[in-house]
Amino acid sequence: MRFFHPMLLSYLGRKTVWPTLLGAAGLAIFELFPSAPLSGREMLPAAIIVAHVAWVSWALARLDKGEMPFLYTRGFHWDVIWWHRVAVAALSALAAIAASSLVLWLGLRTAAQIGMGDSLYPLVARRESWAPMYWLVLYVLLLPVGLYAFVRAEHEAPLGGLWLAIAIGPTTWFAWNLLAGTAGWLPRALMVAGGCVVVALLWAGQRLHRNVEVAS
Amino acid sequence: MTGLNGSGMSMAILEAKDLRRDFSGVSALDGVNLSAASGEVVALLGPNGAGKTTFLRLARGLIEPSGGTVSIDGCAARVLAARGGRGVAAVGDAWEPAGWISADGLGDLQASAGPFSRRIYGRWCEQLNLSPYKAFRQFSKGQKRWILCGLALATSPRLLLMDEPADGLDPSARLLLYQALRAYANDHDAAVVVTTHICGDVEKVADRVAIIDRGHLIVDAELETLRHEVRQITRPSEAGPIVPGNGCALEILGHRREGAVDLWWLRTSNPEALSSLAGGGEIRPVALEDLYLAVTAFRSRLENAS
Amino acid sequence: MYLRLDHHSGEPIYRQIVEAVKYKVASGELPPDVQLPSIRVMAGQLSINPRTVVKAYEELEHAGVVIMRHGQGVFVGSKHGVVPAGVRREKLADLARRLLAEGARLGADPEELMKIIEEEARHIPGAMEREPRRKVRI
Repeated sequence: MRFFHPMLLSYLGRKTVWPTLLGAAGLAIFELFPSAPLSGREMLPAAIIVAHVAWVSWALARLDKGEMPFLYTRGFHWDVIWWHRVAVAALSALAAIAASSLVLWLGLRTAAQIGMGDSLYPLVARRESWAPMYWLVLYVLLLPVGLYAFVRAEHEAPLGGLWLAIAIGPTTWFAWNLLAGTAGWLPRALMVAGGCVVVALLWAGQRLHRNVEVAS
Repeated sequence: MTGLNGSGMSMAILEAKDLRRDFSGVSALDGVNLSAASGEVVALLGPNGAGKTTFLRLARGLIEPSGGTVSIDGCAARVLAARGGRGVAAVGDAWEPAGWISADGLGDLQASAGPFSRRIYGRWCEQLNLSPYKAFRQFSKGQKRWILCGLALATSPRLLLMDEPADGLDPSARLLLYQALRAYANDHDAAVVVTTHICGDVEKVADRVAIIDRGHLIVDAELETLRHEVRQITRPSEAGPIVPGNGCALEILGHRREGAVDLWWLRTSNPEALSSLAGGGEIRPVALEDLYLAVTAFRSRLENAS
Repeated sequence: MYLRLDHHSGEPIYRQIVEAVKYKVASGELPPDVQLPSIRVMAGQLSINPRTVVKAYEELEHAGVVIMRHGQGVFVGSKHGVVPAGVRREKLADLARRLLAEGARLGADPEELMKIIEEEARHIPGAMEREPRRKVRI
């Protein structure tokens, strides 16, 4: 069984164009404005990321009424379809991270800040380069939740598990956020816990996805 | 080929046993036993909402049966579908790709998924002069259906499941399609299941017809057998009901009174012996549409009476 | 070989093939010892199941119209092997009876039917060559 299907990737990818633009443009534009140094833990980018994740997950799961039976009857192994969904979502997130990173590394933020007459620049620039990395972690924690939530919804399973999944991701993020400044084992433990949750959600998603009833 | 040397037995590719499916407590299919063998074209005939589409979805493994089994070459349809469903191709009602993709792009997508002949697909689309680069949404309903049929045929499946494949096609394209399906079944020893609500189409393409009415299979027979065994008898009403005699096995499929005359639709393995029953009335062969109408009307009357 | 089938009449397809071939043989369109299309080819041309063709060919063989030669194909019976005279007479009489009955139903008397038969016969190549127009006595 072939694992990588570029055609499938581009077919699914086309659905995520708008959410990707939201994420990329949203983060990139946001970065130009705050006069305080970017920590990566601001609320607005977090909100943008949540919206991006929700939209991407929805776009990949929704598949217009007759499209799902069409796609699922082409001959692709259903696991392959699931992992391509995950891959497309990941690429969408990476695009947003890349865009926001470029804004920092190419000095666009610096230029904008100087243009707005901020005295802190260019001294703070280097420290801020890590901000997109925080956002990447947030994507990594939230995307599996979004993808899982929607495949669960397709399954018409009770929503109980859905809320649990939704609670886990952001909870882990916020806990880590709070303790990020703290030394010691707790932040790392939470990172590992977060990693486990991510893997568990993707694996559970694959299993649920394999048994999905393809509506039409 | 198709077991011509006396054995006459071809392998059943699709087998549904006691198949049942409920939706929110309402039974869409109940106790359906149907099979399709290699080299055979089976038509599933019935009105909209009778359960044809549900059957197709079950056969393709897209939904789970509520009871009974449906398998392809012995493997449960659901299991096969999750693995990709190789060897089964389906064209469903409104199962369509995103509107932006072109026929050519569809070919690429399909080729990526498994065995696929671009040559067959290309020639197929050319038959209706369909441009390979136009967006799918720009084609008419029939043209879309044509393209999807081509995608299915070009994968050389063992089993073809088609939900109203001729929908939207003009008569000449319809004919081309049915001839192609027939030729495909003949040449590849494949099983083809076609659903339709048009009796004329069934007569053109099918070996067997299964009439489905509100989730139940009420007739399942070879068309040639039906043509051989089913007759319509017209006789005066005063002659009373038809009573089979002399060990002549008879099944009454339908009855209607028109003024002073009774119309009877019968099935018998010995049609030559009917002349005695006709009592001077006419005996005629029955076209499928007549049979269908008679059987479903009769069934309704029986149900209303009980 | 061109055959027109009516899928909607309720008449079994195999029987339609049998009747058509019998007619062609009787009319001379299919001369003796000529080979009929193979089962596969026939099924393809007529767009039907090969089993139906098999059934038709088997019945034609049973009726003595054709001979299936193992490994070679299906051939029209040689001149002397065609349907025996008695059977032939019976079959023709049966046909005539059916025609007269249907004709009566449509309101045509035997004379009108005769005229129509002569008309149709003119379209058959070589059929009327042997005897000039003969007065038909009822």
